[in-house]
Amino acid sequence: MTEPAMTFREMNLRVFQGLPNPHIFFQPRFEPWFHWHKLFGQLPPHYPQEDVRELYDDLGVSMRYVAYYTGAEPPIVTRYSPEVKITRRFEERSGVCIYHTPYGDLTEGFKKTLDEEWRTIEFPAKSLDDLRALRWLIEHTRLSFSAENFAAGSDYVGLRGEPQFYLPKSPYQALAQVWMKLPDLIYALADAPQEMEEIMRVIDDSYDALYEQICASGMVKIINLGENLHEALFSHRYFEKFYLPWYEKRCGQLRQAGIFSHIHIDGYFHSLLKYLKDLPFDGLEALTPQPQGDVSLEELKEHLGDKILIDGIPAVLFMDTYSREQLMETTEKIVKLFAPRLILGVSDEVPEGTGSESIERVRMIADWCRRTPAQP
Amino acid sequence: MEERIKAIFDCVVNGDNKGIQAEVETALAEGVNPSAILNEGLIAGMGEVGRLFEEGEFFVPEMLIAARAMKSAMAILKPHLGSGEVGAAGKVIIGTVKGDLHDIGKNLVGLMLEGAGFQVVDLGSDVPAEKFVAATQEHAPNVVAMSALLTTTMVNMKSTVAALEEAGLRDKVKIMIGGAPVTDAYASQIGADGYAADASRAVALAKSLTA
Repeated sequence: MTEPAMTFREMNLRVFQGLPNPHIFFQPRFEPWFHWHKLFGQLPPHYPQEDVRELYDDLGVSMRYVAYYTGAEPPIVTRYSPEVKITRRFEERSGVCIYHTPYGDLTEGFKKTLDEEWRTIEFPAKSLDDLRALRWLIEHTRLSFSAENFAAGSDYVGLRGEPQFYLPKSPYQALAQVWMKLPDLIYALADAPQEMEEIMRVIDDSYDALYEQICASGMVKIINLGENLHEALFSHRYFEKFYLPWYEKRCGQLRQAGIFSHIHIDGYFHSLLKYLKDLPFDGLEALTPQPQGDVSLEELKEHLGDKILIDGIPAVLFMDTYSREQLMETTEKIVKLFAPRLILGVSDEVPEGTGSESIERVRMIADWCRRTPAQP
Repeated sequence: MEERIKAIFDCVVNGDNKGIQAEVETALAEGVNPSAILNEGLIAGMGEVGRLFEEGEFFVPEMLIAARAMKSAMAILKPHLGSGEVGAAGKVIIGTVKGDLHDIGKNLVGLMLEGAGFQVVDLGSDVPAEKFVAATQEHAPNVVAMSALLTTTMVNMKSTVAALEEAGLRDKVKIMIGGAPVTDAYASQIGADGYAADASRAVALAKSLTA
């Protein structure tokens, strides 16, 4: 009797468990590519037209996230207390969201970009004067894990991969990317460090219930702490003070619940190399080597320790600026250096708007991966 | 005088926003030459910040608070400077290209260029090619600097270069680009004069392009 073929979902988990796989596991992310081409009526006619999962199946590659450009409801639900009054005013291409608090209004501004997605152009807290209002808003916001949404997302991904999602950002990152414009955060940290530490504590506390629910659910096997770390956001002093202890605390919780974790690091990260091997995560996602990033593959190998490299192929290599030979050469080198502690993928996504060539390059790599043993 | 300028230099390097204002006011009251405050205190201080950044001792936060201190000092110093002294290193038009709303990198480059003595005309983000052309006609800069964070928007760098060419301005300016998906190879491909990976290198590139 023939053994049934291993599913991508099984293979995905086995990489984290340190178990052997029959071939290189390839999990490229191209949901934004699909969304873009579908939105603008540019999907090549011979590709699936409606559902990105069909393209994943057509290419024979694995899928990672349950609610990313798929229209699915995210597994983390945000609810505000009844006291929080929010005014939303949106026009065709721009909009504002005003949070009314007893300590003043916090205004968040949005603009639609080329891909018809809303991007924040004005952050709610502009200076130290807004901290009381921000604190009140966070204390009156509840984040919770929706088992129902996760189950639906899990069904959506099916056997294409172990279903995953992003957790909210660490307190510093939340301030730097969600609540404040980076320079405003840096100025506030320089001018009132204790107040800023206090607001970080409040943000962290607001995650307690969420982490407890996820850990208790028994449904989640691999999770991403999101973050979108890159070295332009902090100094080493801040990284050691605000990030590392928080990672230890939250990863520890996840680990105790038997959940594997990884973190998204994109952009330049050369100055972070010295920290990588001791980070408490099982894997590091989207690390982008040269020519797009500032780190060579050899440097990365030297500093990664036993962490799983998730992705690794620079996104620009999927564009016709670079040849297919250059892409293949880099891919082979990544596999040689990092397999079997590797979930091969794109750092961080196949670029939007790049036509069928980039997807055909994904197909080329997928074919190669199926022929290539996962063990060196 | 030297001590006062050294104190101003140190305030820039340490990002001491309150201290620098007091130091510059005191220096001016003591009759210290405003040009010396600018060149030996502020610009030299920002140069040191750039050096420490390149050596990996400083990071973006240190650059930001240094640039803020420099800006505060300039607000006090500017009325005391001659018309040709501000922005003497050259003029740079800077913007994030059309479709792209990211501006952290672009702003940092602008701040560091100002800190190095350039006059910076910031066109903001989501800047169409026509606006780069109009600003080049209006301000006659030495350098046009473009930023993009997305692979979908970096193509607008190419169309901006083409628009400058079409307007007969390409030979009159140097073009430099930067941003996450941009590389040296891409700069060559679209006919830009250079690519810089970060704000400090952008200053060095602008200096070399205007030398």
